[in-house]
Amino acid sequence: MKARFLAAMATGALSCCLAAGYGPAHATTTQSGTACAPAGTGGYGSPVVCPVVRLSEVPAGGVFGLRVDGFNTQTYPVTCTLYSYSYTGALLGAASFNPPATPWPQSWDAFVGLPASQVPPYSSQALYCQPGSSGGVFLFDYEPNL
Amino acid sequence: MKPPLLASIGIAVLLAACGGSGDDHPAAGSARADALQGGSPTNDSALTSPSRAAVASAGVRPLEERVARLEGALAAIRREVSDLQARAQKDPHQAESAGDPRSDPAARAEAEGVERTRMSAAESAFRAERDDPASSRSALDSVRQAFAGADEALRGGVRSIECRSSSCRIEIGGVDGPATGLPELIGRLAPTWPRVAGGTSDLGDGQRTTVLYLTR
Repeated sequence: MKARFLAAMATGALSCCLAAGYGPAHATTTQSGTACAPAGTGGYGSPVVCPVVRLSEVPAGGVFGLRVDGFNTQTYPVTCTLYSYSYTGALLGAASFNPPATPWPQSWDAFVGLPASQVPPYSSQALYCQPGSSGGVFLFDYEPNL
Repeated sequence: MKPPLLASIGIAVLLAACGGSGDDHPAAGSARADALQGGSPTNDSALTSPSRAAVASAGVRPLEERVARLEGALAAIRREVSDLQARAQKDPHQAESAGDPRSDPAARAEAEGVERTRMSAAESAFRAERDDPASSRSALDSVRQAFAGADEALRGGVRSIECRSSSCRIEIGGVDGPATGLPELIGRLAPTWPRVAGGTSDLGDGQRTTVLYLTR
């Protein structure tokens, strides 16, 4: 029930933000937050996991990153991490950020990136946002930079 | 997908060849056809039977040569299509798997070499970092604190934790893959250590160990 509630809120958040007058850049999403799913038990305090699709290989020396838009439901801190796993399932790298712990209507916009060496061909990436304690986090968009 | 595509290309090549090259101008073709059929009415009288045979022979020979070449090309295409069909029946994914380390041994060896180089560079960078006792101790405390609330199996698997001034190296046994407490641990470490480079190494006894390099 809680999982369904969170998923519904993610969908609601997207239409909410578009209706709130965000610019066209925000509306033209490649990977909207509706692709994310609550992990674990779902509900408040549960992490949200988002699959990441790379549109092209990362050039040597480059950075693969995501621009993530979201908001927190409470003042609890949130940690979002972009993970990269090899084709064997081994962890290659992770990069995290802590969005401001200010609740809605304050939204946040952050960039998180991994070096090309940690995002080789045939690797997989996922975005994982963990709200602290019984907090909640809404993700309405995450855009790959490549 | 490849056999039908090749067959289509082969047919296109044959049609293009049959459609004529530069010397197959319609007028020239028509004149040759006339010559083969006995010449045009205007100069029919000028051609005797032996010369008509010579013209016919001269016109047929290039065509015969071209047909022979086309037959050879067609036979080669048939062989190639047949080989591809046989290969596709043996392993339907083989054609698409070239360069894929999950199924191509050569690509796998190359990917493993790249991975070894990456881990070696991370290890060298860590070892080369200045070791300031005070900041190293503080860094070590922050890592131990993150481990305190971590998954029991993860804590039990810790082989070593080393810290320098602004980076730490953690070696954990028996945690391979995403379905472990590793993501949760990295989340705990994130406020102090937002960047993690990871990798696995084989200890030689079938055991694999995960090495994490944490940086601020």
